[in-house]
Amino acid sequence: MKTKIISNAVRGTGYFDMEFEAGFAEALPGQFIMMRVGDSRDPLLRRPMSIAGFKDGICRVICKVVGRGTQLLSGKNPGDAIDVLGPFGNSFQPPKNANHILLVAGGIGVAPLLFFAKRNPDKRYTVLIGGRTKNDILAIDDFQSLRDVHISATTEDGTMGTKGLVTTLLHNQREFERLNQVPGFMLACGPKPMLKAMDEIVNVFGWQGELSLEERMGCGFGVCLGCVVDTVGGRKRMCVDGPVFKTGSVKWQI
Amino acid sequence: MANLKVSIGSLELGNPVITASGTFGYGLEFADKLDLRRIGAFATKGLSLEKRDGNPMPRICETPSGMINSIGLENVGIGAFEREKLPEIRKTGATVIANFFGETEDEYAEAARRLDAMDGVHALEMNVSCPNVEKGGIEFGSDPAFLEKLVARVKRDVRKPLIVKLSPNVADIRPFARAVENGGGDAISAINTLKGMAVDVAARRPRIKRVFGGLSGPAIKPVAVRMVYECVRTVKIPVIGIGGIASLDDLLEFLIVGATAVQVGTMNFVEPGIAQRLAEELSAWCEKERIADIREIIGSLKTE
Repeated sequence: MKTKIISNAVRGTGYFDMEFEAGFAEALPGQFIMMRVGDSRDPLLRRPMSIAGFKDGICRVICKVVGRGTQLLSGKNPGDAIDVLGPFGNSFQPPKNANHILLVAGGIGVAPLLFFAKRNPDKRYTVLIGGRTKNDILAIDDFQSLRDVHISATTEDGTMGTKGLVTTLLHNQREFERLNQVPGFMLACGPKPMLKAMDEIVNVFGWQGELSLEERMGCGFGVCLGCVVDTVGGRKRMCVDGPVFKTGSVKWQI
Repeated sequence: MANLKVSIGSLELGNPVITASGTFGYGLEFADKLDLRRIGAFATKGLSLEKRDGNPMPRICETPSGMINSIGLENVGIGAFEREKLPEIRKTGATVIANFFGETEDEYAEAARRLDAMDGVHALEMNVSCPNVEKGGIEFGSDPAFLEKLVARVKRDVRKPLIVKLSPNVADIRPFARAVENGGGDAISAINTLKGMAVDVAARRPRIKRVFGGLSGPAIKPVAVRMVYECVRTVKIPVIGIGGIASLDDLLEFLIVGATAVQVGTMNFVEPGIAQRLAEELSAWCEKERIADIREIIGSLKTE
């Protein structure tokens, strides 16, 4: 569906934060869209992008420039036409009584978690955001605007927050004791090694949670079979059966 | 209105635009994206007697104007197709070409027999050309004598039109086209994907887990047009042209060199409604060009 860009801003180093007229009526936290780069045949395939916000018909995405397609999209201007399909995929479904939620984000993994928190502003949040450097820590100001929130950042080079990975915070005894107050629901989105580590930690702590997986996709609606994942329930398509999976259900192959 | 009807064996299609196997799921995934009755037909994901999980990830990557896949023939299996998919497909009124494959001659014959007996399956497309599995056709698709024997064996037990999908990964496609015709096949579809490879330079790893995959998309169209032309000049049975179709002009190229129908593949991922759009554009183009029957275009190439 052809629609129009409202704003497109550079964030950190190599990220863009885009708002566009959605052209669809509703979206749920965890869902994603497939954005076409242009009318040309190169780049050919659409890019999957997690929805970072949806309000009054305006959709927001936060993306990392990883190749030529996302490079071209990062250079688009307000008013430019854009071709979007979606929203696709399932959504985060924490129990209704989970009043204190742990959000764990790696890099652009902030996008769906931010959307969730904005949609559920009355909950209490503990947010762990990790990145390689301070330039990879995104949307902190958005999280800070939440009503009841505690945010910790980690960077691999120590340029912001604790030096290390998000999991470093959970291995830290004091953090662990504090986090152990959490009623026990976690939502995480980020690179596979991070999600795998969180899956294991959550299991050790005896918490429940959901993981939003990232993968290259050919179509986004279940036909190319390019984004499958093995789970305890068999082989699943990340785009239609996911991208959100319960902790303890993914059979990690990394 | 121009007459866009074409025939593949005993099957008459409303128009020559078909969607290609492996790019259209089981059709149902597209029921809300286009009107399945407004395209000529759709070809199902390749079906085998038993369910298959396919190859390990990563199994797709993008390349200039194309993509490489190594899905490895993942499918729900013929039984689940009949029980879970076909009743829903029948409700859509779609014309269905069931794509199938096996690992042995017996498996091919059994798969074909079962699909032939199903209400709602209108034609069969036999895959002897998947580049992404050790067994599953390519050995039949790489030897014309094997192929002719396989086609004859499968054809013996089926009533519905049998289309045989050929591989471009051969030195000369013409002996294979001849083998399909001699074996009694009703039509040829060509081409399947071209065997390809791409490397992640930073990681120095193949971008596809199984190293090689099948290249598809606009990048392969000139190769496909050439091979379809070679097939058309070799056999009398209809040839269905496949390879990189993304526009009306692309589609017309295949018809002009002699393809009776075409299949749209990779572009279904990018623009899910493209097959219907192209069928409508073809109709409008015929009107504008004052062409009363699509058969005036088929094989109209001038080489003098």
